[in-house]
Amino acid sequence: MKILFFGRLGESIGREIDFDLPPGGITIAELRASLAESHAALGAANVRACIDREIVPEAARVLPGQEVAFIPPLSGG
Amino acid sequence: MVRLEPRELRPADELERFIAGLAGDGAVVSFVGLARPAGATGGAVTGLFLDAYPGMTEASLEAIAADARARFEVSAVAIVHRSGTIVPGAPIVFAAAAAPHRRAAFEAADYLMDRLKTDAALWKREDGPGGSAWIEPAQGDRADRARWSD
Repeated sequence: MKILFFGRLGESIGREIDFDLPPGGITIAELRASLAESHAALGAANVRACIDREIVPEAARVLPGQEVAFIPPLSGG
Repeated sequence: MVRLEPRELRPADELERFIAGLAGDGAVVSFVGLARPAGATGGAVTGLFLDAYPGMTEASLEAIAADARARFEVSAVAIVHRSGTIVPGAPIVFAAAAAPHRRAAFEAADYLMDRLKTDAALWKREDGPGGSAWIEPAQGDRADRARWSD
């Protein structure tokens, strides 16, 4: 599945990367830990995860077909 | 009327369109935000870049507009926000409120801007001769947002 990044994360990591989702899914916390091995910026506490464009808690489970994104704090308009 | 605008924002056109859609209101208050030539830390800014998350950013603008409609005696509100690259002096945001009487329109427009400055799902980068920096809401923006806390 594709994982999306915005703001400074989009600049440093790229807009999207491919991730092999294990059967049965994975929690956001597990996904974050896995991605942070190669992208340390994702380990920051103020980086939030979204599933299908809604901010979700770390325990949320990512399932096939969903859209996942990591976002830094909003800048506002 | 809520829209994310990746190209040029023309405030006069937006205001004309907003007014044309009204029926029986006595007041319209509109606000236009322009890109400043100086950044948050005082340095020169040659361009702003606003990164948007398609779908999520529009939803955040819709939510702010809906909250304004629920909170004030307004008949319509408008938010048109730029994304992408914006040069100093160019419009970033158009916000407007229409109401039977002016007070609600003034308050709703004020509210729209205070909410937008902190709650719009946008990521802002200032580009200048000294480099680029990603920006988070200023303390003053948070204080303005808190004015409307219930």
